[in-house]
Amino acid sequence: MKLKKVLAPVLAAAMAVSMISGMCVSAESETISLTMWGAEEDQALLGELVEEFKAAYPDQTFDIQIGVESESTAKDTVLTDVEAAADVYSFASDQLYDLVKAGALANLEEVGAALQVAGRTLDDVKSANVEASVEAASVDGNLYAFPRAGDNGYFLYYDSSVLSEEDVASWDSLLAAADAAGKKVGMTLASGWYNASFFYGAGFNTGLNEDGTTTIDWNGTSESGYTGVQVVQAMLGIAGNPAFMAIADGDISNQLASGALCACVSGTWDAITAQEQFGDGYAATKLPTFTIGEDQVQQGSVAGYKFIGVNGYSKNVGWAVVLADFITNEASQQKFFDQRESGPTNNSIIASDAVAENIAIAALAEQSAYSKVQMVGGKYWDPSQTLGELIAQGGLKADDEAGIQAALDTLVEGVTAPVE
Amino acid sequence: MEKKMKLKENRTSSIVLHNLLIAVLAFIWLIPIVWLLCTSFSAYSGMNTSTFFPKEWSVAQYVKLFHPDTVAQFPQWFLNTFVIACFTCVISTMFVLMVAYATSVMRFPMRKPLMNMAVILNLFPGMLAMIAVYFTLKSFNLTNSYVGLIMVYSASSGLGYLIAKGFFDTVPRALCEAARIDGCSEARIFWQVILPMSRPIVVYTVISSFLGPWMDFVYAKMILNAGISSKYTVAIGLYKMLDKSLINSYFTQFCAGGVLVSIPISVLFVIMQRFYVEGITGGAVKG
Repeated sequence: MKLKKVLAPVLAAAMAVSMISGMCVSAESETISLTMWGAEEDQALLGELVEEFKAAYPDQTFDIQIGVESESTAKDTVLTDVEAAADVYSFASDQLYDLVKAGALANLEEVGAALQVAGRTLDDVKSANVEASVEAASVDGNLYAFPRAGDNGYFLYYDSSVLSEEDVASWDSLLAAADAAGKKVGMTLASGWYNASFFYGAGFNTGLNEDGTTTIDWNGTSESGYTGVQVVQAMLGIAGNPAFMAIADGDISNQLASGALCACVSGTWDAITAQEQFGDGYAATKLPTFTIGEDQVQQGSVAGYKFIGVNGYSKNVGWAVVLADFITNEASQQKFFDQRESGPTNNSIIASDAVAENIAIAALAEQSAYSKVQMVGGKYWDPSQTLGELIAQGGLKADDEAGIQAALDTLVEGVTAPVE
Repeated sequence: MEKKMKLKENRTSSIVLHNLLIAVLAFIWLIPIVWLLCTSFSAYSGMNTSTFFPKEWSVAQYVKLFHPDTVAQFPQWFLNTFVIACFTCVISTMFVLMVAYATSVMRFPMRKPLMNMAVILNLFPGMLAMIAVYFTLKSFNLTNSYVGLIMVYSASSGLGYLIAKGFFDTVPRALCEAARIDGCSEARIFWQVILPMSRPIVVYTVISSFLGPWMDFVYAKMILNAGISSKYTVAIGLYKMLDKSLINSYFTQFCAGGVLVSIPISVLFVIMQRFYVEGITGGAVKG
């Protein structure tokens, strides 16, 4: 009798298990099932766009599932198991090369013909978006992804009630004015994404080779005639200023909220926090210039795009291409801009007044003249982060040129190391 | 006389010192938990590390946690994890106890070598087999399903039989023999003789096999890889809240979630705890 009592829940459990497993198997042959990955914060909008997409093709039944995968980590997740990854996914532009190499992106030149369902061609896509973004989405002249946003870059936020427009023109005046006001200027130095801005500004370069190794010239002399040592000396001058606050990667918004900053280098993702903190004084502009010897050198920056790509292993490549195009077309980018304040790549939206009036995106556009797409391999990040930490923590002395040169040589050696 | 006083003083001061040391250690260990609890009651949604205690107190983030949006679907995650943990708990408790019973009470050829093998296998970190597990599940179409996850959690649990076996070894053999003479089958001895007398180890096994899936991140992240938010477990969901674009609006909710996660564990422990108190063999064998 008692045995039965014990068995009953076990049997019930077994039944429930088989029921759940039964539910997992579904998929009808006529419906096109697609999965799409997008960032967490875009989920609601993506849902809306997918409904519009379904409505645009009433003759076809779709089963479209939207998953969460942030653009910054898309590559790692996709490459873990390309076959299990979504058919359509969103990713940051610096991941393009690795994704193409792994076959995780369909070559749109080959499958782009599917767009005729939407009455479009691949050339329409190329001409509708900013040239630089199309270039960044191409490898060897073949387009591999649809540009969706061009806001993956950084610029200067400042509080205009503390700092004037003249103050923010150069690091020297910016730091002097911040010091006078008893506030600080924040920037992340311990990240190769941010600290490269000084080197790019001074005319240095990085490049990516076919085999995934990185080329870098920071320990020599740049096209503009500056040496890497001079750039590091300028950075040490900034980092050593009492009004400068070196902030750990990802911690800017936290420091903004604490109220200690009157300006910081960050991107559109911190726009809301900066707006809350600076209130009526909320302003943004291009990055300031920094001093090398007698010269004022404009600080460069890294331009990044967000792309929507189609999985090379997708079972419904054709419809996936149409969906990816739909998510990135002019109307959709307009929605992204309206709802998510996402900087568009579509030419006609960029030209609109609404974009010009958006403080953060206008500043990004202003900075874009001095920005470049960062071409680096995986070996770049750790050494460049170490260099940034050395500078931020005062591990190098500005008058110790040999020490700085040695640090730069170490950096170059680490970055150019072969990929195992 | 004086010497005695001195000795007594020494004794008191050493007790005071010991307790002081314990108090200081306890304080240090409790800081993170207190911080988590305090931060979860902050009115500010983002991360603020400039002060230890929040500037404004509020339960708003707890309320938000139970009003799911597209990012945070905490009630759904909680339910998912709870279902997975319950099934795993039942299945793996059965496995562990049955293996322990077989190795402790029954005698069969190859018993010793099997036991040794099981212990050695269990010494390898489970993460080693991760990729193999993933592709095996994938070929059976069990990725992105809770069944797959439950199987992964409970399949090898029997290997962790050693502690339970040690406990069963202390149950007097005379009891089993008496039952056997009375015509009991092994199953009956297991269910009706051994188990009722082994409550503490049953409790221990239940709690530990519930905790595994409840707190696991690695396997859940690997197997539930379709990125569908409503299918997440609590661990993945909370982790996703810390994305750099979300942390500003979800950090306090993350802390609140962290506090809530500890509730089922505490409840389970409180329910199970009273069985700990009961004596081991509760006077089953007399004089």
